[in-house]
Amino acid sequence: MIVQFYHSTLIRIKSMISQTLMHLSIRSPTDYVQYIVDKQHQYKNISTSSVPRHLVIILNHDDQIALDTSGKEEILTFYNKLSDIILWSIIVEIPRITIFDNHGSLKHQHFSTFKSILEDKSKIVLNNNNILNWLNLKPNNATVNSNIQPSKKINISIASIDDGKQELINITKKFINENLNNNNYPQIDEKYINSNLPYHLSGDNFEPEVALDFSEKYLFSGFLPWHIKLTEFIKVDYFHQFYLERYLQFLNSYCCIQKRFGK
Amino acid sequence: MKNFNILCSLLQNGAIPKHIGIIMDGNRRYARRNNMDTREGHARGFSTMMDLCQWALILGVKIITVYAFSIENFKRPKEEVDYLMELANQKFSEMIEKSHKLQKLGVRIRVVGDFSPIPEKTKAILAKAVKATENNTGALLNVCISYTSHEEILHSMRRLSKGVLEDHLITSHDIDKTLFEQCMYIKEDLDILIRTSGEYRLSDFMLWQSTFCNSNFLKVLWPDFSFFHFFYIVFLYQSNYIYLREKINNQLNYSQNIQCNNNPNNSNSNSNSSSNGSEDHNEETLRRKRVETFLQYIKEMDIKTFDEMEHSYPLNT
Repeated sequence: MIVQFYHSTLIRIKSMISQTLMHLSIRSPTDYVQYIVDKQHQYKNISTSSVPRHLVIILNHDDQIALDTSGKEEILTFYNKLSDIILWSIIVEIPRITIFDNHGSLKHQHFSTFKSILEDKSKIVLNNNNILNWLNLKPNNATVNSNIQPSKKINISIASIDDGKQELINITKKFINENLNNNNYPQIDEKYINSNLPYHLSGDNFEPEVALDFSEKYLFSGFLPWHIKLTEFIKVDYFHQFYLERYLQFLNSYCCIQKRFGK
Repeated sequence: MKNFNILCSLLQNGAIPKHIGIIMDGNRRYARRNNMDTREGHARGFSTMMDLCQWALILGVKIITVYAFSIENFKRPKEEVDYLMELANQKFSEMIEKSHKLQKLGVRIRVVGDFSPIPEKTKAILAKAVKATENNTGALLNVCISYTSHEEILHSMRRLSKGVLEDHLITSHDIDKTLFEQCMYIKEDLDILIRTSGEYRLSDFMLWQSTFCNSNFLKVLWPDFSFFHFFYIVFLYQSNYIYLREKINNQLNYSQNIQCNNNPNNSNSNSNSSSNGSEDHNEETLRRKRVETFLQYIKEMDIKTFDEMEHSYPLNT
């Protein structure tokens, strides 16, 4: 445990130094993007083909509770930090990102604040304010495959605890109600469930490949049970001190993982 | 033995987890590392599983659930799958022979999963082991064979659908989280989830039951898992018990509050409660009776399933 403590402290110090050097070398948004791309290439395992197709960011429940009693400045600081992580993910070309906040405050209270922060930043850094496809904003009657967008769009959704078990129960009830007068009803199957998931949690690559997990080290945080069949959970700590170097180390860890799929 | 007793008595001073789930990963890597045949790795893995059950029983853990064989594992080479089925035949037959000892210890064995791809002989032996221990109530060993969590969730959905659409025992309004969980293979939530061999994924194991639980991902390969690893995990659970229990309860409370706020039925019934109190009470009583009848019915169906499995293949006594 002492070795782990010193190791994690060393990683944090290294990250802070790297972050400081980054700020010294960047003069423009183009420099910022190029810096991240160059850093990414230093990690041989991170390539366009090996980055996850769907990343989920699991926020720490305590951080979310703290926001309930925080002032506006703390809230902006928190969501600025979260936007940085999303921007890095966009630059390394992760096409789909889900943010899981089991507390629900991001989804139900702070969504517009976070949305405007992220859109402003992407306009400045990426020179594109139309790159984000907010799946939570799609109308209820949109079909599950209509969230497939041209490749320039990054699909982003916010999930919370009410999207998990209760949705599966709702899907069961929906199936029953659809077949009340059908004596030869079909067997409910995975295809039916996948096509009836909430819009913002369905469609292509709906199962996250990797979770950037800020929740407590020895605790599962309540993420959506249907979606995590093969998700790799990589625990990281200190959200406010989670710098680019650490993010790339996380990505590198994921890219090194061997998947066997039962074989 | 002396160390074991000392460590055990230390642990018995703290909170004992009720339900532990284990993904027993690393048998084949263990075999490769030790220049053994894969079959020997699996045999060692089974031996470690039995050791774990003993430690847990002595400590007072009530339920152990092990991920013995996934539906996805049928993709492995036929030789390996056949060997694993034969290993199951052999080991469960031994358990049947020793069922009097299991009865003395109060250990009940349950086998859960989708049994359709399993060979008939294996099914019959598994069913016999289940029936030989079904009246034991001290501790429960759930063995997940031909199991995935997705299939388990689908199984619950199908049971509920049948209960409404064919058997007419319940209505769709009766379906809630509790009833949904009662229809699953494994009804109890996990306290601790353990996975060995350094992987950090659930691989479709107990995705529903592990939503809020303590997680331990260890680098050790499964056959190398020892009492010292078990001690470490339970010690960690006890050290963090109050802190993590508070976190889990907070998160559960938040999730329940959000569901109450989002459920319009609750708000309607609250607003009318003063005028329709007795009607609601009657409806609730009727609902409870329907649910009890339905649960009794599915219990009888499960017993019938295992009876049919037991007699589907002639076993030499």
